[in-house]
Amino acid sequence: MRHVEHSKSGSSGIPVKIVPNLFAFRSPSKWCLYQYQVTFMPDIESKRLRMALLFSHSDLLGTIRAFDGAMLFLPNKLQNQATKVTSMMKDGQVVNITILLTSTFPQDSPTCVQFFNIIIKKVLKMLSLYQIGQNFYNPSTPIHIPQHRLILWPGFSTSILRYETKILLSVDISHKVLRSETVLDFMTELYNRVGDQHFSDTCMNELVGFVVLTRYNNKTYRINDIDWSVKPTDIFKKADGTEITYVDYYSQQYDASITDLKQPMLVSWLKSKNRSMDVAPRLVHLIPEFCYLTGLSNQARSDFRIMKDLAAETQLSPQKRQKRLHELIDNIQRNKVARTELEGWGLHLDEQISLVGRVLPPEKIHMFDHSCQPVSPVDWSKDIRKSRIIGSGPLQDWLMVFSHRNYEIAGQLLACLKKVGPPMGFLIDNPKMIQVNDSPVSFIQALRHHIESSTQLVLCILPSNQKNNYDCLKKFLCVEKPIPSQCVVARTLNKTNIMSIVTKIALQMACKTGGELWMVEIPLKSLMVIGIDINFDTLRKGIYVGFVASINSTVTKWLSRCIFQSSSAEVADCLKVCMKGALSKWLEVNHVLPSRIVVYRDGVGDGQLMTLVDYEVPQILDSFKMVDSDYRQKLKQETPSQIQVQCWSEKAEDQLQCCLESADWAMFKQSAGTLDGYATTVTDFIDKHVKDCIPRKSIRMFLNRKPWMNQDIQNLLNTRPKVTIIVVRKKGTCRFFANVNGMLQNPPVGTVIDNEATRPEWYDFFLISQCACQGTVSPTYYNVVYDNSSMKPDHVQRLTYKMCHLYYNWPGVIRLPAPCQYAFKLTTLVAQNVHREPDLELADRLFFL
Amino acid sequence: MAYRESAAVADLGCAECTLLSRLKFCNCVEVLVGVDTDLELLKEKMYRVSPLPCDYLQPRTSMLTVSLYHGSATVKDSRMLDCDFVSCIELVEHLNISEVERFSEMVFGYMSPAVVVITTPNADFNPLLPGIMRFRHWDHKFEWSRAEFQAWSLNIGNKFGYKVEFTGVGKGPLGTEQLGFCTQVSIFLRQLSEAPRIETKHSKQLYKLVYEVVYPSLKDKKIQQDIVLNEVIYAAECVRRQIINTRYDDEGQGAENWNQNERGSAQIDDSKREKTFKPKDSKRLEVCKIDGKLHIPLINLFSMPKVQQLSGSFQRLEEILQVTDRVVLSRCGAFLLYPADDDRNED
Repeated sequence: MRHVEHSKSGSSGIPVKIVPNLFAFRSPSKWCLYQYQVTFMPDIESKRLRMALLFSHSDLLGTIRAFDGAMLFLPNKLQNQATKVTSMMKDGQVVNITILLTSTFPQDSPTCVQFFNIIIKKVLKMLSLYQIGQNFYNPSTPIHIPQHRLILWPGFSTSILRYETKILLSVDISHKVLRSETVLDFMTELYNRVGDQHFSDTCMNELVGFVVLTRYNNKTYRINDIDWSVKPTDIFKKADGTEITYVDYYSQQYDASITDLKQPMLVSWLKSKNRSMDVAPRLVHLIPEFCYLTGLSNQARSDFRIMKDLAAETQLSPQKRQKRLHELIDNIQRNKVARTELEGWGLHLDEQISLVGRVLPPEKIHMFDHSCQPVSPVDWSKDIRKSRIIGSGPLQDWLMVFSHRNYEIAGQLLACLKKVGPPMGFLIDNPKMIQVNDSPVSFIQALRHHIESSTQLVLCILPSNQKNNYDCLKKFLCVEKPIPSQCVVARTLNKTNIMSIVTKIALQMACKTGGELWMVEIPLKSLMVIGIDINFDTLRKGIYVGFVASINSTVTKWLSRCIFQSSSAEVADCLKVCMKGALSKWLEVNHVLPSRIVVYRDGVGDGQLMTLVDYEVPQILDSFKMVDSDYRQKLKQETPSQIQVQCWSEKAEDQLQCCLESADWAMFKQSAGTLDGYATTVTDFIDKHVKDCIPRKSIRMFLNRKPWMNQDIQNLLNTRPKVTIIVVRKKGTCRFFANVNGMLQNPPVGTVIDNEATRPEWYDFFLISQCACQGTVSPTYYNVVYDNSSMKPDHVQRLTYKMCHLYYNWPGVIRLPAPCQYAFKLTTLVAQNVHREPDLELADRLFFL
Repeated sequence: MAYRESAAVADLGCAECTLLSRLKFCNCVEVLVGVDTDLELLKEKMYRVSPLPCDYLQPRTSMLTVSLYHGSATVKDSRMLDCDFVSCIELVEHLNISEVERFSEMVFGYMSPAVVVITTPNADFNPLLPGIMRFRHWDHKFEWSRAEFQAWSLNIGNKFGYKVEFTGVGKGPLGTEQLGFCTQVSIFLRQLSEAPRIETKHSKQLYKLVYEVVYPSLKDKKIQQDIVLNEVIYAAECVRRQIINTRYDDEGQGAENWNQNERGSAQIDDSKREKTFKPKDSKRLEVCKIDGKLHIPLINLFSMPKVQQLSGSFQRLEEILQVTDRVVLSRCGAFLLYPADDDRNED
């Protein structure tokens, strides 16, 4: 991208001093890694012997070296290109060793960086940390959360990468969640809780997908199934072909006795090493009594108490986080072996780096007849409390469905809605109130009966927050009878702060019926903003691609689309269809194509960036051709109409003037009885003369031909929109602290970081657009992967920040651009509740909020 | 070994630490020592004997310390003196005859453990192995026939006071039984029950320690305390949940509405409000609620099998609960105080 070749940094905002979780190295200048090929004469097969023979020349090689049996890496250059040495084996045989220099890698070369990452892992191992997955943990200082039987191991995720100007060590805090009970304990408790009848089903639901640690090796296994037919007393075949019972095997091999002889077996499919798909995966049976669960179950994740207790331990304030980072760095520095290893490779750990970020100027929020500068961008609900929303039609034809038990609550809710609606500019008429039984079936029956084509919205008061009921209703109202719907759990209305809850409900209802709440200033005219996200549907084994595009120039109205893809790859292949729909809608509303399109793509997995650039970007660019030709086709199909137009010329005008000047105007006044009659005759007279004097011609008129249409506009029409595609990432290991008088805090909302912590090969930046009340804020990472708009980096950053203000479910900034958050919300609803593509009827409203 | 309560085991020539990584699973082993002359190999394989992640989740009941030394089995080091069992697997054939002499002096004369196991290739068996030039491995200095090995073993037995038994591993194909096992094994059992204390046993430490790790164990008071407390707090949490559930059930049946009662009473006088919960198990005492705190009798907690097993005695449990600040006891020390608040409505 030529326009950012020189600089990808923005300029606006107030500079702020930032400390990132990145550490620099003091390296000797021009440090290089030397790669040698080592050959033995006569050839030696055993790797162990090769090592022993080579390493007998420590005086030549030094103690810092890495040798895999063929390749030798050294931090120093040997004197000669090829070095020949001889070793003697214990039996007296002489072996000639040739050490040949094959490559030299500078410190920031990819090979070197990859090599350093292996070294840093070795160093962490030396500190007695355990590798689980990609991260390293310290099991000897566990954090206990006994009330939930959880144990946390504190740990680190580290990596060495080439950042903007140099290679840096990135260190982030990680916690491994483990259960302090075996899978058998877990099963027993579950059995006592749910009883015999539902046990096996619940057990499968709860356990399948979990990763377990076993007591007798260092491996982790994913539970794929539970085998209820195999028992520990059964016989299995060992690798050598002999048969043995599980009980005997574990007692002989590991001195471990199985106490429960009736427990079922966990089944795990091992990934075969040769990646051909035809080979059936190898199964292993695991004894629940010897397995420990790691991570959290879905049930635990939705348990408010567990998450609260976990957050208290895992969400560290910037100050505490910084302390932990330095503990690791100090440990490396203090451990002689670890330090020698690291420094031997030219990696002398230095200070944590610091950089300058910018706090973008705050945005004004515009309401219908009132604009305000919020006191804090984090929450402006107070600033707009008495203001009217930008636009919303009155809610006239709607249903309220509730069970008999919630009759009173329904009445109360309606009264409150009618109270909060009008001041915000949302007029709410009385709905049709429908009483039903508690069951979802009875809700749906009522809906089926009462929904008409004119119904604008359905409000359901649910007796409980059971997922099943909600799913049924949403599915019915998204697919079968597509109507925007608002579900409220009865219990939420029992609280004391009911007015603020109802205000939120009213705002949501306004959005769902097509209303617009607020806007920010968008300096770019004719801008379309798109958000794309992807969500897995475990039930249908595929992904939902969510696509949300703005369809007006104030970026307040949106069109959404959600498409199912049966592949498990996280790459969308339906973007053309989505783009076509969005552009057609835009044409319908604005009559021209947008001049700019900015796409925010979320949900991109690690290492998929290039696939995305190769596969999704062309789809987006190609879509304009389709719309263009489509649109032209439509124009051609319309038969042009013949109309008569007047051709005003100087000559004709003169002639008309003569006629009018020679007229006896007083005559009309006398002959006309009334004032109206007088006016009519005068205008008729003028019209007649215009007709007589001004020549006419007949022309063909095309649809959409506007009087202001000229060649310039025609040209504009033919230009393609300029496109910017930005990949958004929420999860990263980068953290930033603001240094305020020596105290580390979260950086202020609106902080942009576009130097030092970014990558030289990308056009990227970080933006902190949310406030973390607890712990350390995690910045959102933006990577502009395609841009033909020549938009300045500063403008891209500011536009992105503006987009974070437009999520209508929250009166404040959020961590993502609103279109991404909408796309996320849409795919979450569809993938977790509806499991079907929602009807296109709903596409132009934010029905998924 | 299985008959012993505790054992210290040394593996001379531990190489890839394969035997050690298996022996660490034996509950009776409390000390494991590995010795090898190949420092690089030890450094590469030493993590094989480090504790597994699960050893931290479920600590051993006994102690275990694993040490790896860089050194030779022909050199005496005083840290090897306390070993009860010594294994030398495929080691002797790598030594020169003069070294074998020093080796046997070191193992049997100096260390004099209760049991020594020595294995070595059986030269009689070699005709069955295809492609063997002279010896099975390039570094072998000799390979003994059964007669040679047995003669050497018996000689050693006589000299140092050990009874010797012979066996082997790796059977040949049918009809080759006369050649014996692929690998021959002799087991030396010390005839004296106590190791002879010879004055000349010096205290030099000539081996270099490469790696040492102490396994987490319940014998470690701090670890035992943490684990017992985890169980106690979980048990208390279960009591709390059970009480809340019964209360919600009551509400559902339109019986006593606890929530309201509680609130009402809180305004009047908190301390007067008391409610007791009858335990289902008649052996346990009642749990009562005072000032928003559940008072759980320690005896109830001790009746939980896991708590009992981990703490060992009621006295130890009391001791653990008294010294920690993770839980609060009542003034008399007979009850554990646990918050009873129900935050179900917070979500």
